[in-house]
Amino acid sequence: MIKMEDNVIEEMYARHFPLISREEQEKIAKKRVTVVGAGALGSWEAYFLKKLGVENIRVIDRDFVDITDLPRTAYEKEDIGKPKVDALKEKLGILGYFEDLNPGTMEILDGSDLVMDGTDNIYTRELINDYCVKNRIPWIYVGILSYYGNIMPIIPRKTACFRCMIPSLPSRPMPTCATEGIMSYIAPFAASLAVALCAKILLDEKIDNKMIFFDLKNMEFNKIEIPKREDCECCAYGNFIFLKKIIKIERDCEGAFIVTPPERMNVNIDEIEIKLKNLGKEYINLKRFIQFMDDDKKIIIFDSGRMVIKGAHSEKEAKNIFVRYMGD
Amino acid sequence: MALVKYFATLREITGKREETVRGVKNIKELMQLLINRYGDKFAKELRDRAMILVNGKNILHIRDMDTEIEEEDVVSIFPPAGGG
Repeated sequence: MIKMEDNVIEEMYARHFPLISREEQEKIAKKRVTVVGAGALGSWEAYFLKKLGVENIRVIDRDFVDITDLPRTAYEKEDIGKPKVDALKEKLGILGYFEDLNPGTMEILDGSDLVMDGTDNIYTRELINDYCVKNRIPWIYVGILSYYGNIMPIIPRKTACFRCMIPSLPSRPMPTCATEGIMSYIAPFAASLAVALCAKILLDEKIDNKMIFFDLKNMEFNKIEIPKREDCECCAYGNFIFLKKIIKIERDCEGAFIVTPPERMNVNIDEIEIKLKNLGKEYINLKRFIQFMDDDKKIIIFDSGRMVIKGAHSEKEAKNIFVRYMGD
Repeated sequence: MALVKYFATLREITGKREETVRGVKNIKELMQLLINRYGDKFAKELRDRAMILVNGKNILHIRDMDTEIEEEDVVSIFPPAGGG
């Protein structure tokens, strides 16, 4: 509900009303939208959802604001060191969950009218997809890198789902904004497009079921048709494997964390070496595995995707390190 | 003569947005030709993550790497972005 006085609403959304009705503005206000991830994409998505007039915004994230976040996120200097969800809560009054989305925390998405993708990895997107297809919740896939981005509406039973497009986890780490770079204006641009699409879905407007691809290096837009896959394990057969699988984290007798992915990943160790070299880390490449230091933590990545982390203080920290290097 | 369109990072690797290619029967031959032309970096982008569309249709929905390429076909190669 819009909680302000009627005349304030009239005034505040005066520039919306030539385009949408007051009833439509109120409909938007009543919807519950959940944003998964509060990094570059997620922080701007939450920001633009609030500007659109969505009152019930939930954001899930388990990271803290860092100085490197400032150019491309909605955070400011005074937010450094705060949990991202707390910073957004102060700015926007959202409901924040300092959590990582995993098969054990999916209930955070319960009751959503729409889920927005603010994540930075394929695994979490597959999780969102399984949950949303299973529970028939529309969601919007958004991905960005360097000068590029793509946005795709996923409407269960109507459009292709994420797994129609990416049927399994990539066997090697996907390029990330940390390794490939990202210009500051890409995330807010993608988030704005995604919120525009969100508004259309919330108002039951007709949407084009295509993936939007943008290239701000060449100032070019394309729409790409992503057909529904007849034999899709997720949307055709209802096999929601990602909701069942969990990254396993154990501790060995010396206190090192051993992180095992849900399925064998066939990691290309030489590619990890290149990334480490670019990051200026010291490493030893032994072909089947690579050993390196990340600050005070000693890390070994095996070609199966298994990772041993010595010096991490908690399971959460170990999982964060795993996600940073393995993309899921 | 097929038209090959590149998206996202493939534009930086190839230095092109599109080009025409002759004398390839299917996607496998086309990919081999492009890997020979653009090298390891192109191959790495393709492996695992790039979507290949023929006339807008994902080859996973046709005959995968055996999908035939006819004259006038448009092949789009698209690595979905994973960052956020």
